[in-house]
Amino acid sequence: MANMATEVDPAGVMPRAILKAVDFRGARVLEIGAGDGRLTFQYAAEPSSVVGIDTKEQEIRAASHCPAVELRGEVQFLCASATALPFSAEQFGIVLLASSL
Amino acid sequence: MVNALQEARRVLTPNGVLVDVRPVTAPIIMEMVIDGQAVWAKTVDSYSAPEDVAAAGAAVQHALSSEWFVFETSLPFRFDIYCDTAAEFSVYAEARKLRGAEIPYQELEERRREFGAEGQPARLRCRRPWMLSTYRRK
Repeated sequence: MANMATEVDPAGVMPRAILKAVDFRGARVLEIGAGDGRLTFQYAAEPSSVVGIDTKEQEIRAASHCPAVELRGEVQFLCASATALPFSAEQFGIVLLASSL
Repeated sequence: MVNALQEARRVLTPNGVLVDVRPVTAPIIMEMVIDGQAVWAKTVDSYSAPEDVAAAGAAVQHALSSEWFVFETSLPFRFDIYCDTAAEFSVYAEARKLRGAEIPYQELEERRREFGAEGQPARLRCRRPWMLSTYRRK
C-alpha cells in the first residue's frame, strides 16, 4: 500500500460547518491561526478577501507559496500575533479564530 | 486570550462576526479503517490540554460579560484524521497537544499490523469532536 501520510479532515467537514454557520460571501475575512492555509483555501472562494495570520513563520511561508493561483490577490498570509494585530480598526466583517484561543 | 478577543473586536466592523472553532473537552475515537469501513474502534480520553480549554472558555465569558460580543450560535461537529501508522499519529497528537499518555500507541500499531497481515491494509482514523461558535460584535 502506498504511504498516504496524514490526512486531516479529507471530507472537508470543518469548512462546510463554517460556511453553514456564517455567510462569507463578499466579506473581508481575517483568519487567526491560519497555519499553512489548509483551512483557508477551502473557503477562500466565498469572501471578497482573506488575510490569514499565524505566529508560525514556517507555516505562513508554506501557505504563501501554495499554488492556488486563482486565489492570488484575494488571499494574503502574514506572520503576526493575535494579541497585536497589524491592522487598523474595523477592517474586517468576519474574524475566524481557527483553534487559536 | 482575552487580549486576542479584544484585538478581534477592534478590527471587526460594527455587527461583524467572530467565529470561534476549536476542539472540545471530550474523548476521541480511534478506529482502524479498511476500505473506508471501521473494523475496530476504541474511545480514548485524550482531549486537548484541559487547562487551555478552560482558559479559552473563561476568556470568552469575559468578552461576553464585557459586552464586546453577543453570542449567536453553536454548532458541534466532528472531523477525521487519517494516518498510516501509530507513529505518524503521534506526530499529529503532539502538535495538537493531545495528551499522549492516554493514547495506546502500541495497541494501535499492533491492531494495524494484525489487519495488515491478513492482507487488508488498514489505516488509523481519529475522530475528534469540535465546536463552532459565532458571536456578533457590539
